[in-house]
Amino acid sequence: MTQVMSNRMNELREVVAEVLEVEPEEITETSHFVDDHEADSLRAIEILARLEKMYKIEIPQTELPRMENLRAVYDVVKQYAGWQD
Amino acid sequence: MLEYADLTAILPHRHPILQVDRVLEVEPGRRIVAIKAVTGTEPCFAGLAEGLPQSAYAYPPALIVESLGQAGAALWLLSARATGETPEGTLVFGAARDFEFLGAAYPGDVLRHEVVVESLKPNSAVMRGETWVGERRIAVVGSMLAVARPDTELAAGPTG
Amino acid sequence: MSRSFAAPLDAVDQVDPSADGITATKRIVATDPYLAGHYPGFPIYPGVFTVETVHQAARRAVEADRGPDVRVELAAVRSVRFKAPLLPGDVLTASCQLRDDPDDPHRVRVVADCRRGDGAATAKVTLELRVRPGATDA
Repeated sequence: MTQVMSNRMNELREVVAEVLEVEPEEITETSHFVDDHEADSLRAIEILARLEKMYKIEIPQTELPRMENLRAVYDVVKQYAGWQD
Repeated sequence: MLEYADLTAILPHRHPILQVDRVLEVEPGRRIVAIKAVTGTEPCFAGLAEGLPQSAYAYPPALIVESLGQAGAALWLLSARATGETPEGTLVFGAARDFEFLGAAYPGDVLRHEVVVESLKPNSAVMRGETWVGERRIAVVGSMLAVARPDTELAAGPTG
Repeated sequence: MSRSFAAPLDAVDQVDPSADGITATKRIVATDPYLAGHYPGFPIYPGVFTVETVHQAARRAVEADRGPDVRVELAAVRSVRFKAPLLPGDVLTASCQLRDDPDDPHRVRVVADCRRGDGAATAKVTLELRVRPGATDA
């Protein structure tokens, strides 16, 4: 993982942890928001809204089911923000 | 400007819990300014003991939240109407964060809610807002999340 | 009994002490104040009334704990999430954990897990109460 990628991943981890009300260390790239962190559809919408604001991007609500862990969130944001890595 | 009758055509809430009296300004998809007059004849002021200090007559925070939330719901529905994308089902208050109560409102005061859209999707809306009495800011909310639930799911879904 | 502060309804039937706080119960009744308009012909306990249940129960507990010379008010709703509705006939049980704020002696943090009689979670509420000395304005 590049430094840029790692920094972004940590930034996303902070956002997700704040919404899910858990410590950032508890969230791994593949820990499941619903199964492992008691998330629900409301929390998913909150995460999406914060990412949109933070990166000034628009993510369609159809991407919500895909955003089930940190890795998937990274991929979705990468796609809509046009990140190269 | 939208009057009370217009609001009854937008919001499902009715007397005595329709907590918005008038919309002063609205920019669909962006922001709304709405007011609610507080009066001593409202049900929340019934049954209070004699000889209480003025602080006992502070308007209940729960009703400030409800009022501000309804202003947000009106904003969402007016925004949806403007784009032709009406949410399917019933609007419900899903969640809120960082609601701070900074001051009080009393009978005779007019609450002025200013709500701003953070994110608007076909079936959800995230907004933030403030409530003012004159030049005093009495409440602020970091985020309010409303969602549209299919009517068939209402009995099982979240509600406000 | 007459109230000592304005409130949309008496949102608590009973408050019992628990290991780390209190447990409050409230039976939802179609004739509760304000429900006639929420919604006509289809009464649902408003989400903000669940917040009110937790607020009134915690306020009562803090007032009992700190004596009659304090004034307790809701300072913040840090987080609230509604998960399932409460309809007339349902009994709301709010298990409230109360903790003094280590950084501010005038704040009490309340975390409430709210459930219906059937065990379904209806809401999760985190509040902060402000405790002021002096029961009156004077």
